[in-house]
Amino acid sequence: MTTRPSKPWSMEEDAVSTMTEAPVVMDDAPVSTAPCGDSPLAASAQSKSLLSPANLTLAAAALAVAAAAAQAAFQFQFAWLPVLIVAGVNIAAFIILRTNPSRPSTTPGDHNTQNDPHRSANPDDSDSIQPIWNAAEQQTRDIQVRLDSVVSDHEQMSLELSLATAQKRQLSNVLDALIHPLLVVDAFGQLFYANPAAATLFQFDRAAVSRKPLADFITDKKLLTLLQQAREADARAGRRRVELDINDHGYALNITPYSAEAESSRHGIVADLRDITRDREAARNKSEFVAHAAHELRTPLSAIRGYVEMLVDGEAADEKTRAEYYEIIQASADRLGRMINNILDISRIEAGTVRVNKEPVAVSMIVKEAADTMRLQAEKKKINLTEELAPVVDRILADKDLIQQAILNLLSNAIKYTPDGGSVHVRMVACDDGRRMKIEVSDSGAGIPREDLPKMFEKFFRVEANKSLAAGTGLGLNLVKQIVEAVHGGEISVTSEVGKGSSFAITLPLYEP
Amino acid sequence: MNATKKVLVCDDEPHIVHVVAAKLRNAGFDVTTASDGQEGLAFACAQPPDLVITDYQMPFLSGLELCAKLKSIPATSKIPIIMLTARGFSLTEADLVETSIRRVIVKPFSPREVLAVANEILLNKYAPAEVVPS
Repeated sequence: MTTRPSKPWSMEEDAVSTMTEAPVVMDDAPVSTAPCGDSPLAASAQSKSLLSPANLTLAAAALAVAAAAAQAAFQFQFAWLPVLIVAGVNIAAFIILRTNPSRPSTTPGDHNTQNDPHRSANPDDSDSIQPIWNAAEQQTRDIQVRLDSVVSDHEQMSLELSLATAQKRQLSNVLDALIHPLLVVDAFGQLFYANPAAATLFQFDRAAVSRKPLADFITDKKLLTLLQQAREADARAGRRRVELDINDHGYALNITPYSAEAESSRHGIVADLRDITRDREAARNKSEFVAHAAHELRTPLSAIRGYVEMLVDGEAADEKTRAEYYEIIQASADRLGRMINNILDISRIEAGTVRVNKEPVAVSMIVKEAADTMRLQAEKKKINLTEELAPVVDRILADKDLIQQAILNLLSNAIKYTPDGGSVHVRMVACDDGRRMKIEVSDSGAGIPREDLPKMFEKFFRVEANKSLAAGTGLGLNLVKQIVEAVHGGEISVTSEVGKGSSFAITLPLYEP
Repeated sequence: MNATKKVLVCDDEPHIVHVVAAKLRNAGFDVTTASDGQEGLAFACAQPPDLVITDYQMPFLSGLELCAKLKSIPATSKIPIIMLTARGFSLTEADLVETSIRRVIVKPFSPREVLAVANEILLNKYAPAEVVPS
């Protein structure tokens, strides 16, 4: 039995073949078929005096009960039936033994008619009863073998049944756990399965799902039509993908035909939905960004094109005007280049494709280098650029180049929007929690109107009132924010007062080895 | 003759204003410049020009708002307007009907083109008929 294939359907075939054998035993029982070609009828006739026909009939009937019970065990898989079979066999054995009192009780297993001592001691009796006895014993053994097989089959079946049940439950749990709504519609257009996500989305009671028409559950007309069309269409049409809106959310709907049976002409469908509201929003944001970027790029390009054309047309009358035009062209080209770089940097950070090389670095070094880089620019405007590199623990886990770029952007803004002769101050402050540190860039510049403060880090936002002070890309602060927040898990904030100056602060977590 | 024609150029990008003004001045127009819509409106009301050239995207008062205001004031309602824009697509048919916008020139534009259109409108000189996406 252990070599039996584990496929559940093979058990059925097996059970059937065993069942067809069982009645043969039963039919043969009354005539006591002997295995070795003895004449059972003659033996039966000779034994009449000792083994009465009534007794034989009783024994045969008991065996028949056992055999019938064995058959029933296959048919109904009742666990208690083997007990009945054993009882039947025992009754048969008991009746036979009672009709032959001289014969000692032997177990069916050690039966050996040739060496039986009672055979020679009481030859007449033995000769007459022996073939019948043998036949009965043989049948008992056969039944025992079949009984073993029945019990074993039953155990196997119940084992496989429980395995199948467990597998089914597990699959069902998996489908239930899906966050994507899933519907299975059978070949007759009835809802066969719906996971909880689908029940929530379409607001129906999942307990009611039991092969009822799909329309009982799905009220969304468009979806209903799509599902019905897909079910009625040729299965070879394959999977369909449609986008549709349900309850103000966008969904990508996949409809895949499936057949319960391999060669079936009819097919049901599996429909899964994925919420794509966020994907759509991301795509919209991206396209708005691209449109905005394109617009912003056109402005410096317009200037370049315009001034070049003026020069080509000889409309710059004197050397001074020409020099002025060349300078504007150069500045516009520089601005265009910066904008393109910023757009690429921001887009790389947003997409998570920027190459970040984080290592423990000393912030004071980065700040010092950044301040030194900007000193020349500050001196041109006679701006007093000072640093206050506090002796605090200042090691952070950071990409040095990116953090330096962020600090450079802040310093550059501070210098650009501070009038000649003003001051810019950069300092490091330890945060109270001892786990973070702050880099603050303050200026005595134009300041930012209160209502503009929340928009300062938006892409392409520029303070209108200060636009004339410097040529900006509108992207520098957004890039700083991305570097600080998205790449380094820090924070950026701004405080300002119009006419007095602004202060931008970057807060970064300290490196904790 | 051109000297008598007054043009108001209105854009928040100083380089754009500068180059357009230079081109028109070289051609003999009397050019006034404004750096936003509000300023443009004030100048136009104070001394109505013969032509307004304005950017679409401007602080305080957008180009379209400026056009609508000019249309609503009797002294300025008939002044023809050339709109400079990088977003020509956001102008509807109604925008054009309800304002005096005569042409839309898409950035990055050529100063020659602006001059040609200005001449066409003011002096009825020949200029390429269709506008302009360049």
